[in-house]
Amino acid sequence: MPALPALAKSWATREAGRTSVKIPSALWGECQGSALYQVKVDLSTLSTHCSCPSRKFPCKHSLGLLLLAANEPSSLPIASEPPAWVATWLAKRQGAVERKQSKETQPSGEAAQSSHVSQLKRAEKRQALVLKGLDSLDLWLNDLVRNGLASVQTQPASFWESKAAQMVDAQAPGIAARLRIMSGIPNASRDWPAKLLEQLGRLALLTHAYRRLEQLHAPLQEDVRQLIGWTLSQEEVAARGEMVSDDWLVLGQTLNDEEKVRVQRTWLYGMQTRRRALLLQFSAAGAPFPEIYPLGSRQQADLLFWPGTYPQRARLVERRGEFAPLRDPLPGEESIDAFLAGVAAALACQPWIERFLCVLRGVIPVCANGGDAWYARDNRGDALPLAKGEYWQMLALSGGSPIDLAAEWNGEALLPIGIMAQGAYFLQGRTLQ
Amino acid sequence: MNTPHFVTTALVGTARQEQADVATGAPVDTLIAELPAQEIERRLLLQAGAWAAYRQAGEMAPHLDEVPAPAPDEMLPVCSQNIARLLHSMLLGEQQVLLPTALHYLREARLRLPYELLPQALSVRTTALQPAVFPVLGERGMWLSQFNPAWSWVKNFLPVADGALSDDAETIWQEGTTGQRCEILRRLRRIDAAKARSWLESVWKQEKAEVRLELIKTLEVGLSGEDEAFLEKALDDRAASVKAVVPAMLARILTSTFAKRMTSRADAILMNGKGKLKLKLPAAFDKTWLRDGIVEKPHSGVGERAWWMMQIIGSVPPSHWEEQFGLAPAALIAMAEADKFGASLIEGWSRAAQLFDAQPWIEPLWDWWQKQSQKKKSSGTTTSDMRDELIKHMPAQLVENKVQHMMLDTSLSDSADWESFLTDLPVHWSSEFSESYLQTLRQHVAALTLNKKNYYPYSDPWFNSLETAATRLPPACFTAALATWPLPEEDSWQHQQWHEQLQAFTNTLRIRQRLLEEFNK
Repeated sequence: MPALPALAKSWATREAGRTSVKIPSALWGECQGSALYQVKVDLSTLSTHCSCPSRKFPCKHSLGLLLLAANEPSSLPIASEPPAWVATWLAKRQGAVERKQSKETQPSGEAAQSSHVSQLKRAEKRQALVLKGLDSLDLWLNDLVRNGLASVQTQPASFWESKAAQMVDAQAPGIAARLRIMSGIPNASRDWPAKLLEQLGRLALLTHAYRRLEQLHAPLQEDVRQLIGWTLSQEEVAARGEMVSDDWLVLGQTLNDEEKVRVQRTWLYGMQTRRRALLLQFSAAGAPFPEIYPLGSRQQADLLFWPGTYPQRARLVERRGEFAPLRDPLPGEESIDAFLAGVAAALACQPWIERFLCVLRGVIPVCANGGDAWYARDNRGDALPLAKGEYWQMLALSGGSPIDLAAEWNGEALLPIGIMAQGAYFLQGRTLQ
Repeated sequence: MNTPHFVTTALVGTARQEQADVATGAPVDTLIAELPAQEIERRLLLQAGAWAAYRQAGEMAPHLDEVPAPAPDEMLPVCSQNIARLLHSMLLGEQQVLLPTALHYLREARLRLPYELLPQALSVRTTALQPAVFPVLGERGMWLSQFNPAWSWVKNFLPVADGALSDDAETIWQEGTTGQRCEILRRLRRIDAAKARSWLESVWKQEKAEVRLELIKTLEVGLSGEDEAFLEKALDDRAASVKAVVPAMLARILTSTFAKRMTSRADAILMNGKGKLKLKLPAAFDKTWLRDGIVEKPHSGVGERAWWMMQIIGSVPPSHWEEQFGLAPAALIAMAEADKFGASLIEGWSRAAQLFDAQPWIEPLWDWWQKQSQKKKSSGTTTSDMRDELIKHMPAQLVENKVQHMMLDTSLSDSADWESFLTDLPVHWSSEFSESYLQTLRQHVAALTLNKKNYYPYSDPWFNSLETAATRLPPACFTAALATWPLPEEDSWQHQQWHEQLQAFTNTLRIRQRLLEEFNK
């Protein structure tokens, strides 16, 4: 990245001759780089476009403009009408969004009919493949327990990987992902046999549930199918999922590298509905994530939730209005006990949930052993461990006084994604786009 | 949580157990009973799955009884967000050269760092920055430092109490880090030198050599004849490192027997022969010298008799010779020059001038070394050069004069020498010096012939001076320094280098300008 202060400077100096202007929904300007570039930002989505040839996204010119707008908003005049080159782009974007929406809502008559038939055929074929795969998996699981889990200690990574690959071939990628995670358990901790057995047990429960799918109630059927790896098309999500309108707090995100794919989890919390939402994005081979979410902000928006007993995964369908930075105390649980009770209730509906959004009010970060162990402690003295890492900035901001904490809970530790301290929200952890 | 029995069963393997007990022993067993009866492996797995959900749902948070006391309220207001942003990028390594300046401004403005920057500020790599960081940490920063062992350096900087000792001084003296204990002693020396010495004496025997070395150095504060007895004893210390720092202190107690010993040794070497210098080098090493810190073996390239002489002359106040000869330093130096061993004698005087901070001697000695360095350049020999050390004893104005003279003298200004003294100038250059620097730099840049085959920008003192100049030019010169620097039009790598160097120079100045604007808002 170039020196940003210097970049901002070049904006400011250019300002005399050129214009960089904003209207409430967009921001644009011309930047003198190797050539004169036209930079535009859609403020409702933070999407940027620049006429420069850079492959970095967003490019330095867009970042410079955003930085200027953030640091010295008064230096930008307000325009009533965008110039043609901006208006065209905004209109094109609007058009793209609408086309996407109409495609989702009205699959046209006959074509839909025939595609529906072939879809059914494909599903049947897949169903057979999955069931066959699960049979072989169950035999393999039984063998593991018969020979004893101690035997996996000496197994190479390919022991898990080849089984995972089989599950991918059997079109059950959800199972494959679970197997890959399990490969890291043996010998990783002192109580690894119990951890591994729990995971194997959950997997057995899942294959058991899938075989008697018709006996489960509809939302749980959705869960189990998704856990096995049946993906829902956008139309299916639209048809069976739930649309929720709210003032959403975009609390933060986590990044995980899973099997050549980078997974981004963005956690949202609805002010009115108190719903928690998880926006998932995937990127392969270092490509940028398609959507940019305004972390640490709130925005009125419609989210479409995937169907299920405890819907968490969602998709942002429509943003309404601009986003505002988070300033008020976070809504959330007043105690760790209340949070864990919520987790228990969710697990009672759907025992395979792996990650929860945890929003705790008034907890104190505690540093133990010179930074080796960290906790979040509530005012009753209950404490949950924080994931392995260092949280000096959080400790500095709290100063031993209560703060509001947003984190991802995986059943063992909290992975902080943001904190509210002294009326300002600070993102935590890896939040690169 | 104890490992449930069925986990052990699974670990060992059902094949190896006649009657495998797979019950979890928890209330969840009643639910598990509803699962279909199947082979034992499958049953164990399904039970483990049910147990996992049961256990996770029933999880309770552990209790944490004690939490550290929260940080006290702040005494200083926090700096503005714009200043914080500038400091943040500097802490991350951008324009790092300006960090000391920025921290200095912050302290002068009686502001503190914002909380979010504290971890980075506490982690500054160079210890030289720590004194600048400490005053802007605020209460929160000091509170925070207790949790990370890498930040324990903060304890070495005690809160500044105006001269007086704080109530806990004696506790700190007994239990603190070496840095803290020295700080307490130094302060006590200013208030009650004898008491500080008696504190030191009371622990002297039990301390380790490296601690003794640090503690004894505190006697430099308020050094007087009363310290002589203790120091004289320390000449016999077990540790060579401790012994080594004592002679310089004793020499400065002019009434000490050490000083008298040295003076009589020196008088046997340098005598007044009817107004002329009479130099008689010691014929052999006297073993009694050893105790007084005189080193027997010289560095390579120095004769041993000259080496002994140099050390002895170096321990006697130079004013002694002004009295002996009734002559001014410059005249004495001129006379010494004629002698075969004159250079060694002058080196001895140079050492003495530094040790005793003999101001009348500093400038004439520096001039002599300067002359030598010119000669050396033409003859190509390298001998010692004491200009670096001597210049540190000069008042700021004199340093500027010296450097300016070298800078403007065209016969000298192409040599890389003057540039190395820029760091000895005060942090803020005087406007007179700065103007003359900028003016000469402009002429130099305009006259550059860059694509000469053997022109290397890195060996051009003007090129190298830009980095120092960017941090030290006073604000009054910013406009002049930021005016464009036209380089000769040409396409060469040297041109590229100069272009980048000038750009870095103006960038640094612009950030300084912004910093000042922010602090003056």
